[in-house]
Amino acid sequence: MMMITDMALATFAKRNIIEGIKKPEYFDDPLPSAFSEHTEKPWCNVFEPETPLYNSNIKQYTSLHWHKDFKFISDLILPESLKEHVLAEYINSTIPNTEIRAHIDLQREAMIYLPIYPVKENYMPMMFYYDNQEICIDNHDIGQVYLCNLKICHRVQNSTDLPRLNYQITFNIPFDEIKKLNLAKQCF
Amino acid sequence: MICFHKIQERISDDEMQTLAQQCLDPNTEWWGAEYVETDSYVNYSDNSLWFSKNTTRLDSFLCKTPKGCMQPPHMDRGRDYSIYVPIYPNMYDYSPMTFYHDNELSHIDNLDPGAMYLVNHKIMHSAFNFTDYDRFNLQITIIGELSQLLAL
Repeated sequence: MMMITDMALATFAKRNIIEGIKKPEYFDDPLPSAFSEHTEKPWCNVFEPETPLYNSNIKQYTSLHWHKDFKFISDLILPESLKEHVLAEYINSTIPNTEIRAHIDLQREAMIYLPIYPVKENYMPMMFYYDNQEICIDNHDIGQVYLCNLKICHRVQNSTDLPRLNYQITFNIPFDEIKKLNLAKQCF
Repeated sequence: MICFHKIQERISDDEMQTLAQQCLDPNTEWWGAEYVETDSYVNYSDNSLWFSKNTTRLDSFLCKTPKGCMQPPHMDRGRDYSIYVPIYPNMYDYSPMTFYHDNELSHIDNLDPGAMYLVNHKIMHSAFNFTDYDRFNLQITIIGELSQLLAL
């Protein structure tokens, strides 16, 4: 899709990575209400998927974070025609040595995805499995934004010692419908 | 059969015990896999994979994935099909062989010890052994046309 500017990313990194994202906390609010309206308070929602059928020592864990200061990212990367279809937007954090095993999203259809931190080979890619191929979205092309189909099987394994951060804007319409909106004209 | 097929033949309990003993015997010699591609991402995977000749069936080999190691999703280049027998550990401690096909996952596990599977190695598959145990299985690589084999 489009590139977020280096300046914007540097600003974000300074505020939220160098200074550090707050330690994840559990929130009592159920997810839908937390998503329905962005509050000005920083919030975090932690997901620990149910134990897989087979025994495994690697933890399934991801957490979602929102703060009003993040809004500038969507201002930069969210096309106007998609604003009415936004279900949620947040920073997704995968802590070191955890994974999200291969799955297809149940609730979410598609998302705009911006890998943030770390960069280059330290950012563990999101892996999609389609047509007997493995397709990786990594962070070698820093600032690149991607439109992702969440109905395709995908997984993440953060086997590094670094937290893994990305920005996600989730939509309630299917990937194919978003593609029909001819985003290229709006983004470039 | 697309990913795998559970065949009628089975390994007997005695044979399974013998195989497990050989796998766990500290004197068993193992050699490393060749041509395993390592991933370009930092700390991504330990692709360690070890083989040993099976003393009871000379056309087969034992395969070991040490604990904490994995074979990330891949398709085999050197073979199309094999007969595959999960050996150790059993039940839910055996990390399954996972296939990624047609936007679905399917697993060969060890919930039925002694079962034998015909496996298509050209379908993307993986194994992640994040358990407390080394993981062992028996593999017999099939040479020739699968149609001839299925006709037997």
